[in-house]
Amino acid sequence: MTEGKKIITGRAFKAFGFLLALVAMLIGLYFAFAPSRGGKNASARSYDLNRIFNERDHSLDALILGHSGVYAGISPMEMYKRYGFTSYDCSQALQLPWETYEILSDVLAVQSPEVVVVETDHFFYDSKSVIRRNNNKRLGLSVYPFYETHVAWKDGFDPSARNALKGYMYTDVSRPFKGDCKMKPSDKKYKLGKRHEKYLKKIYELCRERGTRLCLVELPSLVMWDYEKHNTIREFAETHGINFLDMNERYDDTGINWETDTRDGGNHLNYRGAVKASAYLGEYLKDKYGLPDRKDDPAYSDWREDLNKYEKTVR
Amino acid sequence: MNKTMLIFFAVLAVAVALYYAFPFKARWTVLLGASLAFYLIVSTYLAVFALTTAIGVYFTARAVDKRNRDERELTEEQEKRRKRRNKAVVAVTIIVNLAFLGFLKYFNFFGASFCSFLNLFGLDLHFRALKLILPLGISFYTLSAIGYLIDIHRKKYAAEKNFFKVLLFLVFFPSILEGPICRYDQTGTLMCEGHRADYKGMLFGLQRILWGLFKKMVIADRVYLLVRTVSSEPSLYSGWVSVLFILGYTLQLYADFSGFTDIALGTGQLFGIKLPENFRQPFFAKSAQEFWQRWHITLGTWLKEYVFYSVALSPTMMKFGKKIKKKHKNHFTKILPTGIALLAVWLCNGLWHGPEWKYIVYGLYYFVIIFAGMLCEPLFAKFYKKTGINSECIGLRVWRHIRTLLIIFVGETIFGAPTLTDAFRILGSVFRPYDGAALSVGLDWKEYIVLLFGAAVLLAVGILNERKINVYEKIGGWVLPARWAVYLAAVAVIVVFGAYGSPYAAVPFIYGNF
Repeated sequence: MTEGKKIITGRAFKAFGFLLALVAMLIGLYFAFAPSRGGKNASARSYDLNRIFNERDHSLDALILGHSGVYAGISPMEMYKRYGFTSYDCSQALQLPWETYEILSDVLAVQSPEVVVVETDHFFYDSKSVIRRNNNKRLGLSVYPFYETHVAWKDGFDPSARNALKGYMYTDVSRPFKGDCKMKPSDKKYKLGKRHEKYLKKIYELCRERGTRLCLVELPSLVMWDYEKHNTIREFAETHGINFLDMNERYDDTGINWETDTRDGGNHLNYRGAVKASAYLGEYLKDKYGLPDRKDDPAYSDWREDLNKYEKTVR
Repeated sequence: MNKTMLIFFAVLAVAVALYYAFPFKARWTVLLGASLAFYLIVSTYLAVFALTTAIGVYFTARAVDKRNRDERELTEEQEKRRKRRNKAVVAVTIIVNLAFLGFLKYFNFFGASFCSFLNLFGLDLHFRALKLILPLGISFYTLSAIGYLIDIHRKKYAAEKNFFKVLLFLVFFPSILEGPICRYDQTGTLMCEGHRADYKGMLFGLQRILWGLFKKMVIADRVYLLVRTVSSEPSLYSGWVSVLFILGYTLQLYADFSGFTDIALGTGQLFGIKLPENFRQPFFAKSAQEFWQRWHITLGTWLKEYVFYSVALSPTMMKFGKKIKKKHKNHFTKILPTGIALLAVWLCNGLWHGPEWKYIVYGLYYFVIIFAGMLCEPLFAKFYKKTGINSECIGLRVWRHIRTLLIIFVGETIFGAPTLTDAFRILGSVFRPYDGAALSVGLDWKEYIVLLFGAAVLLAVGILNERKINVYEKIGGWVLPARWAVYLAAVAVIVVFGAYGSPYAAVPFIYGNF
C-alpha cells in the first residue's frame, strides 16, 4: 500500500470510529432522557405531556386534552388552587384527534379521572397542510427524539421528575386582538372530516368503556372558532348526551379581555387569560361533575409542593 | 433551529457527497445545483428576482468589459463617449437592481412615511401597504452583484464569461442567507475552481459549523426568551430587566449573526472555499470606528469601497473640498468632505438593515459618534500634550473599552427594540427600579446558568483569538482521545442544552430578514 493510500485508509478508519462513538453517545443520551412509561408512541410526544406519567397512578381527577389552546389557556394549578381537584393538560401544538385518542388510551391505563375534557377545535384540523405538518413532526420526533426530551436537563437530568405546571405552558407575552369580538351567528354546520369524526366517536367510546365522563369544551379563541363549528359539536354532544361548554359564548362570564389576555392577537390566551379561563372551567367542572377538594388531603401533599413551584414560575 | 436551517443542512449533506464524487472541472456545477435547489425550496418563485439580477449583471459586465478591452486607437472624444456609455450602462443596471430591492423592501416604509409627511399639511391620505415578500438573501446578493459590476467598470479584473459561474457567485448557498458579502475576485473564482478533499480543512470546517451551532442554539436562541418577553411590552419593565434586555439583545445579535457566519464559513471550508471573515472579536474594540472594523466586516468594507470612495472621490466632492479649504482653512473644512461621504455610508448602512426609522437612526447614531470623534481629535491631542497625560496609559485604555461597550449597548438597543420610541423607553427606564424578580423574566435561573456558561466560553474563545491563538488548530493538534472528547462534548452540549423544541421557540436568524 502506498503512503498516500495508507493515510487515506487511516483517516477513513478514524472518521468511522468517530461516527461510531458519536452514535453510541447519542444512544446513551436517548436512554438517559427517554420516558420510562407512556406507551409505544411516547417518543413522538412533547416532554411536558409525557410527564403526566410521572404523576402517581390514579391521582388525577380530570384530564384536559386538545391542541395548543389547552396548554396556553388552561392551567390545572389555577383550578387546584381555587377548587382543589387535580388535573393535567395533555396537549401539544397541532395535536390531531387520533393523537388525542392515543394519548388518552395510554393515560387511562394508569389514571382513572372522573372527567375527560376534550377541546373541540382540533377536530376541525382537517387541512392537508396541517395533517402533513403533524406527520412531519411525528416523523421528526421519532428520528430525533431529543427534540422534546432534552429539556430533562432542567429537572436535574431526572426523567421521572414531576411537572409543577401540569402541562400548562406559562407565557406573559401580550398582543391584543383588534376587531369584532362577537362570533357571527350562523345555522350552518361544518362537516367533520371522516377520520376526525371517527376519532371523536372513538374517544367517546373509550371514555364510556373506562367509566369516565366526557366533556367537550371550546376555549376562548377569536381566530379559529366560529358558529359553524359550534353547531357541529353541539349536535354531537346532544346526540351522545354529553356536556358541551363553548367559552366563546361566555366572554362576559369568563371576563376575558381581548386587549390584554391574548398572547397572539386572539388565537391563544396568555397567563392573564389562562387564569380567567381556568377559573371558569374549574367552577364548571366542580359543579357538573362534583370533583373533590384535595387541598387538605395528606395523600396529595405533593400537589401543595408543586403549587409552590408553580407560584414561583408564574410570579 | 428553524425549517430553513434544516433544509440548509440537508442540502449541505447531499452537496458534500456529490461534490467529491464529481470530476474536478465539474465540481462547481454541484455547488450551483445545490445553491439553486436550496434557493428554489426556500424562496420558490421568488428565485426569479435573483435570476434577473444575475442575467442583468452578467450581460452588463460582459458589455462593459468588452469596451474596456477594446484596444483600438480612439480619439479623446471617442474615449470620453466610451466611458460615458459604460458609466450609463452600469448606472442603469445598478438602479434597476436597487429598484427591485427598494420596491420589495422599502416601498411600504417610504409610502407610509411620505403619506404621514403630506398629512402634516392637512391632506388626508391613507397609504395602503402592499403585501410584499422578500426573496431570500436579496440584500446580500444585490450588494455582491453591484460590487462585481463596479469592479468590472473600474477594470479591477475581467468579466466572467460563463453566466452560470456568475449565478453561482450570487446565490452560493452558504452565503446567501446572511452573508458574508463576497467579492468576485476573492471568493467567486474560488467557488468555480474544483477543490481536492482536504482532511484538515474539512475537519476545521466541521469544527466551525459546530461552534456556530453552539453560539446560535445554546446562546442566541436561549437569550431570545428574555428579549422576546421584554420587547413584547417594554413599558412593563425597568431597572435590572432593562439592563438585562440591553445586554441580552447585544449578546443574542452577536451570537446569532456570528454563529451563522461560522456555519457559512465552515460550510465553505468543506468545499475548500475560504469565505471572508465577518467578525473579529467586536467587543474588544476601543472605539466605535474600530468596532465597525470588527463587526459585519464585509458590509463595512463594501460600503467603504463602493459608497465612501464613490462619494469622496467624485469630481463634485473633490471640487467642493478644494473650494471650502481655500475659503476657510481649519480642521472642520479639512474633514468635511470625508464627513459627507461618511454620512452617505452610515445612511446606507442604516437603510440596508431595514425599512424602519430605528435603523436609519441607528446608522446616524454611529455617524454622529464617529464624526464627532474625528472633529475632536486635535482637541484631545492638544489636551494630552498640555497635561502630559499618556494617552496610552492603562486607565485610559480601560476607559476606552468601557466607553465603546456603552456606545455599542445603546446602538444595539436602538437596533433591537421594536420601535424607536421603545428603544428610548428602555434606555430611559434603566435607572427606574423594577418591582418584580428581574431574574425570572423570560428565563429561569437554570437557563441563566447555561447562558452564563455559554457567554463564558464565548469570551474565552474571543480572548484566545485576540491573542492570535487559533482554537481550531490548537484542538486539532491534541491527541486523538482528547480531540474526540472535545468534539463529542460539544455535540452533547448542543443536543442537551440547545434552546430548541418545546418550551423554546424556533428562532429565525436575525440577519436572514435583512
